[in-house]
Amino acid sequence: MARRLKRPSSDFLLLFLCVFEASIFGLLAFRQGLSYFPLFLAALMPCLLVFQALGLRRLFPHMDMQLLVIGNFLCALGLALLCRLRPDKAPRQFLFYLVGIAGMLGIALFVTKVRNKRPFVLPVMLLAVGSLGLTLLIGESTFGAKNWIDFGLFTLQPSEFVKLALVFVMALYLSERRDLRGNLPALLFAACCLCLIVLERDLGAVLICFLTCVCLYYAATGSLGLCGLALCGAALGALLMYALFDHVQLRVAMWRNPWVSPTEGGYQIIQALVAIGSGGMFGLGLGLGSPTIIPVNDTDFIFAALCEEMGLFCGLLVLAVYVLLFLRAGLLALRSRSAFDSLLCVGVLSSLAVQTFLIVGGVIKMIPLTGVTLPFISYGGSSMVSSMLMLGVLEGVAVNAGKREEDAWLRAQGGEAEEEAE
Amino acid sequence: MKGMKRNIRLLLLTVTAAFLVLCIYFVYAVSAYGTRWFATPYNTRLAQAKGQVQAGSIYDRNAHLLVETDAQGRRVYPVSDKARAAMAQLIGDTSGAVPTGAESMFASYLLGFQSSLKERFLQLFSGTARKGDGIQLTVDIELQKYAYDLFPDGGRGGAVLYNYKTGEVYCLYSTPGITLGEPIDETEDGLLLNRITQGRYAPGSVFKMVTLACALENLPDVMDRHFVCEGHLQVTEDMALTDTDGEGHGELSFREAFSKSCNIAFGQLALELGQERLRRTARRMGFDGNFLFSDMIVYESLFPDRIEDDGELAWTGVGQGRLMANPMHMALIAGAIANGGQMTEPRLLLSSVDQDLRVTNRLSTRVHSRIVSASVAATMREMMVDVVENGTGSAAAVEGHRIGGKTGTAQVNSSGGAYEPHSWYAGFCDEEDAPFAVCVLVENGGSGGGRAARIAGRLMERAIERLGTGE
Ligand SMILES: [Zn+2]
Repeated sequence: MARRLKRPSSDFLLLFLCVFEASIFGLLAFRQGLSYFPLFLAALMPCLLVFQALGLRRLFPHMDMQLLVIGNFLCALGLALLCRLRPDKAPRQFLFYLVGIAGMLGIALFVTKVRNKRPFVLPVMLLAVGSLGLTLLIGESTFGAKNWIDFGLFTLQPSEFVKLALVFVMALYLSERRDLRGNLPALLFAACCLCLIVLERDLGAVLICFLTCVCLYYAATGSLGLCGLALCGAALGALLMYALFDHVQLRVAMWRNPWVSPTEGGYQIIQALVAIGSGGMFGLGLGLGSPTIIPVNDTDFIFAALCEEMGLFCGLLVLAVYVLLFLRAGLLALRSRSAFDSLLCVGVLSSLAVQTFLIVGGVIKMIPLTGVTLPFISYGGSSMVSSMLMLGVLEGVAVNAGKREEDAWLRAQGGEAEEEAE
Repeated sequence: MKGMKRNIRLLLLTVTAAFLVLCIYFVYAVSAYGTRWFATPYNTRLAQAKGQVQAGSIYDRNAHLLVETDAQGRRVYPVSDKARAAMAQLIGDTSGAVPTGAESMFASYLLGFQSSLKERFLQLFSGTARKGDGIQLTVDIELQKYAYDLFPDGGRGGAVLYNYKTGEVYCLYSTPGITLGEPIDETEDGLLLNRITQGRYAPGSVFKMVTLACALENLPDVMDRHFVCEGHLQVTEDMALTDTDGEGHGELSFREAFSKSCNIAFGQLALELGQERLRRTARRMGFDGNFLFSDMIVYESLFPDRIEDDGELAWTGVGQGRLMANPMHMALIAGAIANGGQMTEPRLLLSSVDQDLRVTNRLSTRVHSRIVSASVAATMREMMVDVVENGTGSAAAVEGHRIGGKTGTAQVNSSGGAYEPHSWYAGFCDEEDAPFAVCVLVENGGSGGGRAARIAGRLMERAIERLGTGE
């Protein structure tokens, strides 16, 4: 038992990340003359990281440092790319990052401290459906998808948060009952959300939510038949959407051969491929390429910008970091003793994994492009905050699991002590 | 709970596998298509870089300077007028109008995108004008000029000669073309096309190399067969196979049928083999394939998806019908036969060099694929040598050297009336000291393949003199 309690030291990881943050923002600060914001970040980001690490460790002695480091690494990379690509947007993104950290703390507290989460189900459901409905009514559209609401001061993309709501509701129901009837409310809620997002024409979000639900359902019930049925249904749905929506047809056509229309339909994907091809193995060097040519380089195509300046090598490295994050989350799900906690992990893991796969696969033209953000890295308040919230969920589960293990260990120790006393 | 753990493990495995596939695809895509993506005309980085970077020089294999950038940033060609015309398709213009030219294909070197990061940072901080790398091509400019002389004025066609062991292309000439450094004549069509790497023509009897390979692989007794040729064979009611000269070859052994290029014998063989087996061999030899060579763009040859009837099948076996062949590909097949069945990837880039001609990056030989077994290749080699020594390819012979090849006459069915057929020759020199393969195409060059064979022979002779390693 004692072996399990000993955690590997993560000080080295922390130190490494601090050096990375200081150097990458430092480099960006002196790129052309002196720009103050990256310099400010070079000083502040490592402090912020140490503060998070120490603060969280005090608050939750069982927190998972690796997860925190991975999440922060990806955020820092995203911020650095944004300083390079769109310096005007970087301060905003930094603000979102701060909000995200607060959110992460909040949700970790919620997961660990709130015993009975049942009363929260109905408000969460109403909030999710309500916000999606509101988007349909007063939302605005970009690239064919009507998926965000303008609040003047900031814009909100409710579908980013609906993912989390789905994970929460599904995990709660599935952890209590395994039969179809018992889970009907959760499934109905999921179906309702999916329909609303389809109406918004946000196909990337539809795919993410749907696959997340299927993964959750499979993890909880192990029913391959039902999940297979759902996947077949989804395939039919996809065909239907292909037949109905012009922009879906265009996306598929441009995936099959973008070169037929290099200046219009295929422009985005060709520019992304050209950027990746220009970067080659080790990239052109941060600040030495021209990733600003790539359209929407701060959100959907940020991976192409990364590959241009840092190369295929770093692209693979970033993918490996994502896989580490997923593996870590998966191990957490396996370690946790509570079915609800496990399912939370599975939900978060599948949602992040599907999203990352969709956008990276789309940018490198392996699959048709769906305009979703790259978690943690892409610009966007909703995306950043929801990614951090998911990290918070994972941290909460880690804390719960650690605590339970410690209790069990203490009990065993206590038992041994009593035996010895006798 | 236990079942759930198993499910979670499976999910985790699926996710990891999916990302592994993603990474593998990513690496494959970048290594296979990266340079092509980079070299597209839609890459605005190139135009941008041209303004900021002094493009590197281009040298031939003997370090003769072919192209450099002058003080005003213009590309200049410090070579004779003849050389400028001879290397037009090879080098290509600077605006990317010839996308297969060296200026476009190797822009990443010339504009310094391949320089090491250290160099790029140093240049950035030292404030000097950025300079691209120089490149050394595998071609020999003297041989290139010689090829230019071999084609008559106003002729159309091209020639390629390469080393089938190393893949180095010594000569890649296409005519008509532009003259480098002079404005492009917009009124004439096809000036920007490299007929060797981008052209597709009916192969005529050159395709008998494929039919021969297929027969050797599938018909064990074929070497002992005899054929009777009357110059005419009624395959179906309305489709007859004819020989080029129509006289008929009389009684022939299999060897003679190949060296005399008898359509009747090879049409019969094609009928016996059937379209499936013929297609399989053709595909293995590179038809319908996508050549992803790393520093050459070569268009693929096409074998018809479905052959309608026996008439078409017989004609396909002798290289007519709907077959389309790329001259570079035919050179590669001839080279692979001489190379024991192994096709070497052709390459145009010898190395990248810095200002002092020090090699910064030397590129290596890569094997593309095995197209026929070593024993089939050995038999084919003998039979192709026989073509030059005793058959239709005698014009390609080089005194004192062991030359093999295959001629071709491709009928052109154009609606505009009767055209002279295209004249083809693909062959090799079967010697350790001069492992060279060649392909020559003369558009409307007349029947019998004599024109092409003569050019190929002269070019080969010159290449052996200049580049052969024997004394
Ligand atoms: Zn005959």
